[in-house]
Amino acid sequence: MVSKRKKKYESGEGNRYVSRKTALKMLQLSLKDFRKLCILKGIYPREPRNRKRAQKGATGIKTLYHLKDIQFLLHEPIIWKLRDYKIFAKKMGKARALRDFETIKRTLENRPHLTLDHIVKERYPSFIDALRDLDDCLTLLFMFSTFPSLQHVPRDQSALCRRLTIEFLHAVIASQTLRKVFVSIKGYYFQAEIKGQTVTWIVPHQFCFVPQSTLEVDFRVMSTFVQFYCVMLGFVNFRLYHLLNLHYPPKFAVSSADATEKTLVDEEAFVSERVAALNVPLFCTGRDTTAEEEVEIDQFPMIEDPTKLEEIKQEAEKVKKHKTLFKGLKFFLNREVPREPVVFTIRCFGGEVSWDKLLFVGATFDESDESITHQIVDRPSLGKQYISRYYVQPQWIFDSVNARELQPVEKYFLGAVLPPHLSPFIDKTREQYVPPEERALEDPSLAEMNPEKEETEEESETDEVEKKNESENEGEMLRNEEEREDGNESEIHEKDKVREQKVGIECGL
Amino acid sequence: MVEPHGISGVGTKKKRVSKKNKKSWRKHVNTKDVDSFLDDKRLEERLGTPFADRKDDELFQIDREPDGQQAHHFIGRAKKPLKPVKCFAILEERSAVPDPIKKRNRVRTPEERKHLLRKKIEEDRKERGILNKKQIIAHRNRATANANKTNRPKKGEFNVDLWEDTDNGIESEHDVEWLSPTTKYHILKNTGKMNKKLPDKFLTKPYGIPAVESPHPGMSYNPSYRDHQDLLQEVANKELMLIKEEKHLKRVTSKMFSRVTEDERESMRMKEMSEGLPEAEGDKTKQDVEDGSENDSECRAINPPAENRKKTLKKRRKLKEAQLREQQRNESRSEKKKISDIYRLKFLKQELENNDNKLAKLREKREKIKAIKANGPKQLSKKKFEPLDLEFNLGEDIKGNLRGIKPEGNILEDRYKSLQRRNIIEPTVKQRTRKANVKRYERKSHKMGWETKGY
Repeated sequence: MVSKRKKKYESGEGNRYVSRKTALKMLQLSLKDFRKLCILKGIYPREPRNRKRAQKGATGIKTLYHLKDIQFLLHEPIIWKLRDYKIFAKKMGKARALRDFETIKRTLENRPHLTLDHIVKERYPSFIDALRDLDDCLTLLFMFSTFPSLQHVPRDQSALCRRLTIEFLHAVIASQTLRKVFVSIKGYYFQAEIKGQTVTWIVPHQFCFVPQSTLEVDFRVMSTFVQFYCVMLGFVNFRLYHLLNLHYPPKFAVSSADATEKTLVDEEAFVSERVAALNVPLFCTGRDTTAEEEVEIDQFPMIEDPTKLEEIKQEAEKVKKHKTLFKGLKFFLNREVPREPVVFTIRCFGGEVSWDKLLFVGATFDESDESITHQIVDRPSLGKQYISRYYVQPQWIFDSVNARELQPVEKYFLGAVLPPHLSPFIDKTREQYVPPEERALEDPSLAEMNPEKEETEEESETDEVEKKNESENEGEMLRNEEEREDGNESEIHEKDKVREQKVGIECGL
Repeated sequence: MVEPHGISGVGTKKKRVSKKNKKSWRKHVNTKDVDSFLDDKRLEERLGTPFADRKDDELFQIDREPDGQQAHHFIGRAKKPLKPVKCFAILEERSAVPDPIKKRNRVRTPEERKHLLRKKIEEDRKERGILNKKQIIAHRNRATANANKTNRPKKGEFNVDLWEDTDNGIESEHDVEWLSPTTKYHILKNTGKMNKKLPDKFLTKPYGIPAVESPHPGMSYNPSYRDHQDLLQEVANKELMLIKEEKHLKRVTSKMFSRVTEDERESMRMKEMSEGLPEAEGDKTKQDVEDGSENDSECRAINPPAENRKKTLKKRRKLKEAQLREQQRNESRSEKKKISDIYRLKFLKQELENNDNKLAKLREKREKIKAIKANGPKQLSKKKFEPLDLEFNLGEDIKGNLRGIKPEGNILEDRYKSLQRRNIIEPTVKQRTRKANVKRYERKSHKMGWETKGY
């Protein structure tokens, strides 16, 4: 017989992509549900090589998905849960409008529940895969734990976020895996090394409430991400705690001082508050508790580079020393110091810390304790000072952690001009300019004094003024340049450079 | 007699009433206190000995049971009786005249309709515990529903290790090395332990950069001078780029068109529109010269009508010969060119090389741009990705201590943009739902007359 006529866009790129509208039709879902499903399952929109071919001849820019991705989504059981939820919402709406309270109660009791366990297992087949994605997860959850209940953000989500993030912090404290801390204007950057994976996250500054509804952010989308990440972090916490032989959910031994407070509040609140204080060591589950298995570096006799082996050994030694940086030291935090990040950092390196009893629950010792070695203060001056302890500013802790050894306390005394807080993150994309302070860290002989504060202020002020004038001056200069180089061949090269720069800037480099 | 002050004042004297007959007694004497006393007495008699004479044990009980247990004896609220159905409301009795035969209007309930024997059998069965099939199924369903409800995984509860069996590959108690693959497949499939592995395609990420990018050192709350200057320089450079683009766009668009005033534009338009029209004054001198030539013919010979001029045979022959000669000439020229090309080989080779070099350079350039774009945000939707501005603190904002920190940037927004940058979600325009401007009005038939508005 006559063979089927070959039509355009039936094979190749035309066949591989599917527009969003087509995908909605295939899945029979609304747009909100589809977006939620894609976020949960990890299905991303794609950019084709040739848009016209991929869109089957249509011009314009459409959102395209791989056909295979959509076919994969067709087998997902949570689609039925999404549809059930839609039906539930319709029933609730009708019952509310008719003021039929029996139906409302009955429908609420039988509401559909979404379980994402199988999706987490599907997307992260091994534990290491999940650890790789922890960055995003932690940052989002830390941010959401500070939220009140907003539109599209259910009330229990922020409480759950807070609980999970605190549990994770406890796991990091117990495993002593924190490596770098950086205090930036955006927030606190922490970097930990868990099971060989580097996990970096940002914790926001705790300041007054910022209205989030004025932002351009789509809260529904972020809420879906948070839902998924909550489940993921829960399972990651469970496994981390079991690898560290700790009890999950976290338990701790109640000291006698707290026993009186225990009777005042209900048990759950008591536990959650003390856990949130980050100050108590958690209960271990029997087995080997005390000595951590020291991973010995095997001797490879036939390795080519003996110097590399030495380096690795030295690195391991340094890390071991790093873990007990604050061991034996006792810290007391003054009221104006941000409690959580500082407590977390100190406890990660083996130190003991406490704060004013009235500030937060869980203070273990008082300000008048004689064995306190360091008191962290952020004021220009303090009234009563004890002789037996050092009074330092909080940057001392962060700088010591980054430098992997205790910094000289004199530079961080009350009222002293602090040395600059350098970033411990080495960025390969940026030029490797090593500021004189950093060079000084490596080689103390090269130590230079930071220019005086007044000088920096003046210079920075003049710089600002210059910056504002610069724009005009440079603009003129550039225009002149343009007019001069019209018709020059080098113009082509400049245009290329500019284009590359623009592309680079677009990428946010 | 004392004058009364008011209706019932202090000075009023009570009017004396005679209690001569029963009627006046009933009207004027208040025996409530006596009645209540007597009622209490009768109640006490009914209940036994009066309360005052009873012992403490009979009146009070000491509660020794702990409170917790009592909570279990909670008896739920009795189910509300069903409301009468509206569709049968018409069948109710609505007139005030009652039916003389009262028993006619009552229907027996299903319970009353059952035969005595039937009732007895059912009671018997209930006692013995024999259930109907319907009842058995109902019990079973209720049990499963309750079990599901109680065993339902709670939201914040995690008590399963998801990655338990992925520790060191597949570990099993038995030695499985000697089993053939088909056997293994069969066993796993039928014991339900078969794990389907997702193709790697679904596990790859659409981005190559780290999720949380390392910050610029100038973003520290107490940066070094040089780092801070670097950051400010970067910000300034971005602003300059924007200014440059704006200026360029202005140069090629607005500046190309000269600015004309309203009057000038009007006059220019009038002039253009009135080209060729007979003018009253001024232009008459010009037109006089041309008038003469114009008077000859009404229509100017721009496109004369076609004439049918035939070619003679001679002309055709000549044309053919010329064509042939031209063709021959061209052929010979191309032949000559071929011969001369052999001597031009070196130059030809050079030309080809130049072409190749150009193409190679172009290819390199394209690959460079491709490499940059591969790690960048892709065009996923109509809206282009707009990166956030760099967060920076001006020199005066840097206080040098943690207490005086001036926070910049919002982490939520940063995460949202980062997700767009990594091609996980596509940039979208926030849809603002417009609220319908609903007009409310009352029906004319329901007006009460005191409305201030018209409706």
